[in-house]
Formats: sequence, structure tokens, C-alpha cells
Amino acid sequence: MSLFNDYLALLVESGPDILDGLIVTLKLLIGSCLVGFLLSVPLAIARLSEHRGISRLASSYSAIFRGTPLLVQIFIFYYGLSQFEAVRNSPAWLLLNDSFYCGLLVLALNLTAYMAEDIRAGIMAVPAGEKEAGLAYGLTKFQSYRYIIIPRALSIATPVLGNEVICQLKATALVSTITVLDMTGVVRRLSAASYTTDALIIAGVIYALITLLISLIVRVAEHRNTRYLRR
Amino acid sequence: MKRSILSSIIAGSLLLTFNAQAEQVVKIGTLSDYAPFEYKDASGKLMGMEIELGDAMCKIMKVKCEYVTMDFDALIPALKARKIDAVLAQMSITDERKKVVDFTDLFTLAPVQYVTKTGAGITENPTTLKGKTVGVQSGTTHESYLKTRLPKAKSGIEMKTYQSLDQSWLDLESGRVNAVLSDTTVAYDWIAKTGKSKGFDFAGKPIIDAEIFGDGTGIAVRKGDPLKTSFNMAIKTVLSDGTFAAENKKVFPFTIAPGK
Amino acid sequence: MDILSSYLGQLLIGAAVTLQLAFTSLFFGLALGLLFAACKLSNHVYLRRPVEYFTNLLRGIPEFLIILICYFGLSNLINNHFDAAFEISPFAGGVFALSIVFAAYASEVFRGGFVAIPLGQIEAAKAFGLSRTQLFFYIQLPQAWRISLPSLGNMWQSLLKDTSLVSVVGLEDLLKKAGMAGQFSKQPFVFFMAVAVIYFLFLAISNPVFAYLEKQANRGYHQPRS
Repeated sequence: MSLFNDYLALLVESGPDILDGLIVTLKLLIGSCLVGFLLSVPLAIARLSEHRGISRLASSYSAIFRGTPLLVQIFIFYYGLSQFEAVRNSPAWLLLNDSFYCGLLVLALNLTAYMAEDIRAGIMAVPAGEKEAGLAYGLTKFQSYRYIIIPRALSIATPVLGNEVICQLKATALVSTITVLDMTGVVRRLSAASYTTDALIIAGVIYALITLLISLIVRVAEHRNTRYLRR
Repeated sequence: MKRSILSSIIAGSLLLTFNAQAEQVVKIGTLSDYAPFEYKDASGKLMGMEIELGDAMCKIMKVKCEYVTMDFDALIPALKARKIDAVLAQMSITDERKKVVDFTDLFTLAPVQYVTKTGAGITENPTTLKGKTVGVQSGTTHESYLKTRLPKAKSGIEMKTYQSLDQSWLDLESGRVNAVLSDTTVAYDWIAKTGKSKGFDFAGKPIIDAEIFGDGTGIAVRKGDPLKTSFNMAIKTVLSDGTFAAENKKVFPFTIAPGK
Repeated sequence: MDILSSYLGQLLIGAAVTLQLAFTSLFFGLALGLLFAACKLSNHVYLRRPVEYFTNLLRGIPEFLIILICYFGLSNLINNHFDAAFEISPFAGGVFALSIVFAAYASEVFRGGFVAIPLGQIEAAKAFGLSRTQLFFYIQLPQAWRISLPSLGNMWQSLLKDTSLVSVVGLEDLLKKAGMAGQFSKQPFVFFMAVAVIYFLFLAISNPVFAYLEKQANRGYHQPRS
């Protein structure tokens, strides 16, 4: 019973701080998912381009961001780049200077690589018949992508993309290492000050609940997206 | 012949293991990035003023010392969890900490000061820091000072907490923080080696706040641990026989030995 | 460049620790994953449900947070209840955390693998008089392994990348060593880039290894002609 009281007391005392952290986490999640999604569609199309230079460039981007740990990427962008005078004087510094936006940038760039792979798989899974029908109708390549291929690819890829969003939620925890006070950052501070791990566990439960929420939303979205395929 | 060789090998190894266990091992928790007190050089060897003094004290106490490095805010949890038996990491003696651990007598003095870019117009007066960002190390009295005395709502000062002081120096150099609040001793070393050439120096006078900063640093042990008395005896010895003074001279032109 | 060479020894030691951590966690993760999968496939609800909830919980919490909880929390637990019987080093805490996360995902993959084995094979095995153990090791496991291998390959890649997280609790792995070197030499960029390259190489080597494993697992197996 006293264990429960401990947790309750912690919640009451530090609840507002944890809530602030949660808001930062959600901002990071939504921001990086939006930017990542916007960048991943062109990247996926570039991956499938017939132009060898473009597709090679796109696959190297994917390989680099998926082939190295996110934590290392974060450190390179935050501590590594700030080492150079040239970077500090460039306009990019406006973004890299702030730990929140720097973290958001790296999260978005990382997510782009993963989402592009999923969307690429989705594009390849679009029935050839639909692509051919588009060409038969006289649509230009751009038009057939815009009206036929991409919407269909996205609907096919929805479950996988939903999974990526859930993975991204867990990835946001890493920006606490560059002083961003997201939920993980807040509870690490609370835990260090109290010499216990209660705050960490509360954060864990909250993350699990949000994951549950997101998977429910994705399932509903998937259900509605494929409504036309069911009777 | 074979049997006697075997039995002598067994006896010898048993003797060795018993011998090894007979010597008491004291695990000392410390940092690995806090020059000149404790740091690792290019080959990964732990060295520094507190390491030298620690070795000297262990010799006096006739125990074997093993150093375990970790982040500053992990030291007290590790002590409580028996991962380490003592903390030798420039840890200030404060009433807050005395609630959870025991401290030896005063080991070194540790004044506290801001470090900023010269000409930034910042002094120890909080009004000069309004709207600025200050970097501190997690778990330190400097962090508590900003949290309790100068919370953001009251003072307009933004605080950034780092796991290691080295990271805060990096961000000070790149301009992400306007000032770093740390011990004068460590700051002196950084300024002398890197900061001064890049235009950074102490700002204003040392901050006096005995309640939060305490009188100085000591060695932390678990509550009720008899190690405290052994360490006290060793501290007294190194302070009086010149070992402390010699190590002090190697790194600082000023003394950090506790007065009295 | 020569600053890298002076720290090369340290970086290699860190890389060795990283690989040690990854392989140890893989071993325990696979073993635990099979155990969890067995529980999930069990007929006993009181075995199935708790394991399902537990693995779902583990898949919903950031690995980073799990590592922190395991390292600090386990130490407190052992200290409070078992009077510091044994200590949890950063390596042990890291292995524990990474293994249970790997096991949580692996249990789902293995479960799918076992479920995909045609029921007829199990009935035939029973008809032949094979014992439960023989059935498991000769019929079920090889086929489940074959089906799970691609997913396991992806999970290994994640595991390898997640080993970098244990540096935050003080394990002197590749990333921590690079961080220390970078701070000491005031050139963090060079060292973090070196770490990125080394991880990239490790992962690049893993791909052909898994391709070989898949080929081995698929030998003698061909899709029925349509």
C-alpha cells in the first residue's frame, strides 16, 4: 500500500513537470512525423527513379540514416557540427543552436529514411493494372503518381507507417541526452534528485498508454481507408 | 610425482585466492571527465589530483582501491546500491546530501563561480543573467542553486542540465549557453587549457551560499560505515604530511586545502 | 586524422565491448523469446495473458527508458530486498534490458513462425510416434526458424544499434569511448563520425551473414509449383 502512496505522492508533486515533458514529447513526435512524412514521399519516388544518379543518392541517404544508431546521429548533429566555426556562422545554426529543434531535425531526417522504404514498398505493391490504367488514360507520370499511385501506396503502407509512428515515439526519448526536457529528460532529473526509479516507471507507463492509443488510431484509420475494399 | 605436483598446484591456487580475499578492496566511485581532479588520458588510464591523493590515502589505510567511473548524478545511487563503497568526486558536503549519506571531514575547498565569454556583461548578480541560459551539471549543488534560488519563473534564467561538465563547456563554446556555473577549480583548469584562448573567463565574484554549496567537498560513504573514520585519518595525514600540498601545486597556483 | 590513431586502441576496445554486449543480448534474447512464444502458444490462459501483456508493455516503452529502469531499478531492488547479494554492472543491466526487449519482439515473430507450420505436419509426426521433444526440435523449430529468419535479421540490426544506448548508463562501449576521446581532444565530430562508420560496417557485414543463414535454412525447401 505504501508503494502505491509513494507513486501517488510523486504524481501529485511532480505531475505538472511530467505533463510539461509529455507535451514536449508529443511536439517532437508530431513535428518529426509530419516533416518525415513530407520528405519521405519524394525520397521514395527518388529511390525508384530511372535516373541512376538520383536513385543512388536516395539509397545512400537511406543506407546511412538506417545503418547508424540514432543516438550517434543526434550527437553528430548537436555536438559534432557545433565544433565548426563555419557551421556556427551559417543560417543552419538557427536550427542547430536550439536543442529542441536540433533534436527534431535529426528525428525527422532519421524517420524520413525509414518511411521512404515503407512507401517504396507500398508503391511497388500497387497493382500494375492500376498504374497501366493511368498511363492508358493519358495521364502524365506526375499526374498518375499524384492521383493514382501515391494514394494507393499510402493506403497499402498505412499499417507499416503506423508502426513507424510508434517506433518514433520511442525514439523521441533519445533527445533527452542533448538536454531537451521531454518526458524522459524530466523523469531522469526527478529520478536523480530522489535517488529512486519511481519517476522512470511512471514515464514508462505513460509511454505504453500513448503507444496503445496510437495503435488504436492507426487501426481505425486503416479500417476506414480500406472501406472500399470490403462490402 | 604427478599427484604431488597436482596437490601443490591446488594448494598454491587456494593460497593465492585466500590471499587475494584477505586484502580489503574499497571501490571508489569517481568521474572520468573532471580534469584536473579525475580524467582519462588517451590510453584510457584514470589520472588526476584526486586519483593520486586517493591512491596515497588507500596506501595509508592499507587497503586496495579500485576506481569505478560514472556520471556525477549516478554516484550516490551507486553508493546506496553498494556498487561502490566511497565517493571521491569533488562532492560538496551539504545538509541535503547528509540525509542520505555520511561524509568525512572537509577534504578540499570548492568555491563556485560563473564562466562566460569576456565582455558579455554577466556577473554574479542575477539580474545580469535575466533572459540568458546557464549550463550546469546534473546532480550538483550548482543545479540545486539555480533550481531553488533562481527558478525560471522568478529570475528569467533558463537552465540547461548536462550529464557531464565537458558537454556544458562544448555548448558554452558554441554559444548555446551564455554561462556555465561550476566549481572554480575545474573551471580554472578549463579556462587555462581551452577557455582563455577562445575568449572565456570567470565572470564576477564567487557566489556565497553556504546552505546550498556547503563548506567544501568530502568523501561520501554509506551511513554508519566505519570507512568514514579510516578516511578521516587518511585525510588528516595527507593534509599534514605535504602530499596534498604537493599534488595541489601540480595543478593549481592557489591552494584548495581546507583552512583551520 | 592522426588524432584518431592515437585513440584507436581505445575505440577498438569500445567496439569489442559493443559486440560483446550485442551477442550476449542476442543469445539471451533468442532463448527468452522462444520461452515467451511458448507461453503465448500455451493453452493455459494464466500463462498466455500475463506474457502477452508483459511483451506488449515492453514493446510500448522506449528501449532507452527500459535500460535506465533496469540499471538503476534492478540495483535498488537487489539492494533493498536481497541485501546486495550481487551487483549489477552497466554491462549486466544493459544485457538484461536489451534481452527482454529483443525477447518481447522475438516472441511475436516466433509465435507467427510456429503458427505457420501446417497442422498436418504435427499430426503426421504424432502418427509416426515422435515424442513432444522430438516434434519440437526436429519439425517445429527448424521450420519456425526458417520463417522467422528475415524478421530476426531486422531485429538484430535494431539490437546492434540499441547497444549504443547503454553508453548512457556508463558502459564503456564504442560510443562512450568516442565521447570521452572527443571531449578530451575537443574534436567530437571526428570521433562520432568514426563511431557511425564502425556501426555502419558492423551492420553491413550482418547483411550477407543473414543472407547466408536464410539460404541455409531454405535448402531443400521449395514452394509447391502452382
